[in-house]
Amino acid sequence: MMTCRQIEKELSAYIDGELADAARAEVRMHLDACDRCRRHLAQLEQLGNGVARLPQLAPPPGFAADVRRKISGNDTQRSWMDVVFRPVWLKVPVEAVAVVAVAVGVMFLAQHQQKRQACICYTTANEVSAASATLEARKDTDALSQLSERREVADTAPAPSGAPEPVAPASPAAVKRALALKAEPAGRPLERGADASQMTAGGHAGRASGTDATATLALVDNQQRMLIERETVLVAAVNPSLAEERVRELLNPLRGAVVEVKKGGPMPHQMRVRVPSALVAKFKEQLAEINADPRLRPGLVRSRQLAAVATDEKKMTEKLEKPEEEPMTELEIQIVEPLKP
Amino acid sequence: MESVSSTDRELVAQAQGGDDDAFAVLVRRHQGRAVNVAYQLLRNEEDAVEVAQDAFVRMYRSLGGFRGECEFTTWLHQIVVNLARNKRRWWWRHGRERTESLDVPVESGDGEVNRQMAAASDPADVELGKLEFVQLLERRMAELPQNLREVLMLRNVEALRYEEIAAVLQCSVGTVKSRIARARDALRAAMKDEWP
Repeated sequence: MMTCRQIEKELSAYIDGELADAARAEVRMHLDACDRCRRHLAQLEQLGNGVARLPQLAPPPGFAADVRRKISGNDTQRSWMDVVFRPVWLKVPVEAVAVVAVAVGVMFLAQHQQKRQACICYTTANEVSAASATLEARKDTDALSQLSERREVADTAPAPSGAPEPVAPASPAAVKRALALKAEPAGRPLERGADASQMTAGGHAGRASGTDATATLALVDNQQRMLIERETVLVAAVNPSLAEERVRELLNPLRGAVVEVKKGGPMPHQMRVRVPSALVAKFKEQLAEINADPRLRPGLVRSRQLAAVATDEKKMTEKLEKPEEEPMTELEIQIVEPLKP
Repeated sequence: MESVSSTDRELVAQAQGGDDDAFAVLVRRHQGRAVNVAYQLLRNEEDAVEVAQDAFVRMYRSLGGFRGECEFTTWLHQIVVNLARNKRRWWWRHGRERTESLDVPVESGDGEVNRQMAAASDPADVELGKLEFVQLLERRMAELPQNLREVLMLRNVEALRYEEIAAVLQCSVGTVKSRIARARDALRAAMKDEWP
């Protein structure tokens, strides 16, 4: 004998005639004896009748003609999105091509990155030799001995033999590539030095001339790993121009130089500055203080935490025009709108 | 030569052979069903007509792949339901939920659209307040989840059997049975103050 709860579960199928004969007979027998389930059944039937009476819509005149027009492609009201994505026979190939294109792009970038790393090693090796030649020309014995020690410890690979070749200092472009090595672990400079010796012969012949100072910078970077760092710092300020002014004020005593300023457009207000590495921590503290400046952050505006992002080697080297005598850190400062509370 | 007395299967076969007039007969034969199913799912005349037309266009372009494993009407229902779902997703992505009042006159680019209120044609129903009941029911239907609204519409408006609904929605008969029961229970609960 089925309970009322069990019967209620079957009532919907009962009124639709979808119950098997045995179940149907059992439900009917229960309904004969149960007022509550009969009321439930009546309500379900009323609902079904009501749904069947819902407003209906008849096709407008010209419906079939419109279909024919769409089929023949004369529907001028279709948007380009419809044209591109609506037909299934076109949609699937377009998506497939997009997937393949992305996959090929990723593979290309991965391979390109590997080749670039290899290129950096070779160029850097040449830079060391170029710097060596430059230093010899300048009679800079201290630096030369330093470089020589590196090579001796590095490997048994032959050092450049004989008299120094005519001075052919590193080109600015090569120096920039050398600087891109900043991401290498600091504990492995000697391996690169060994490679440098092996790949040096004739490596820098025919290059455009640069300056001694530039070559020295390359040497310092490769031997001592006083690498230029770069990171992006976000400064939250409702008044970007005022914030920029404050950053410039901070730079003055630090002997920093504003390399680049970008304003307007969809990107945040950007400044690219270089400050001595030893003073970076203090400088960033002062940047953080800008966030607390009441002129820049009035009322309820909430502070946004300073954030460092991954370095960009290529952009970092592009903006270098002259060497520094001490390690410098380049900061890209993005002045953004504060988050609303 | 196609004729209005031909079966759907015969007309489909002729259309697959390149007879566009046969397909036109199919369109005229089933346009009312397509438009109304779309309307029941969208409650918006303009979009319902567009969905119904697009369904026929899609069917025409897919005729070569139709092997007659189901009825033409089942195929039509499948496409209309899928396109209506797509339209609702489009609404959702564009931040709008299209609804309309039953009191607003219906107009479209092709002229006046004939929305029919079945209950309104029966004066006795009006006297008994059933028109108001249906209008309230329409609002409650609109609040149901899409999958429950679909099964209830296919059952009570299109009068399809559970097996046919399962074929349209490509689910099991048990699922159809369960969804219909849940949809009716939800409506019954929502209308609890309206029972005489």
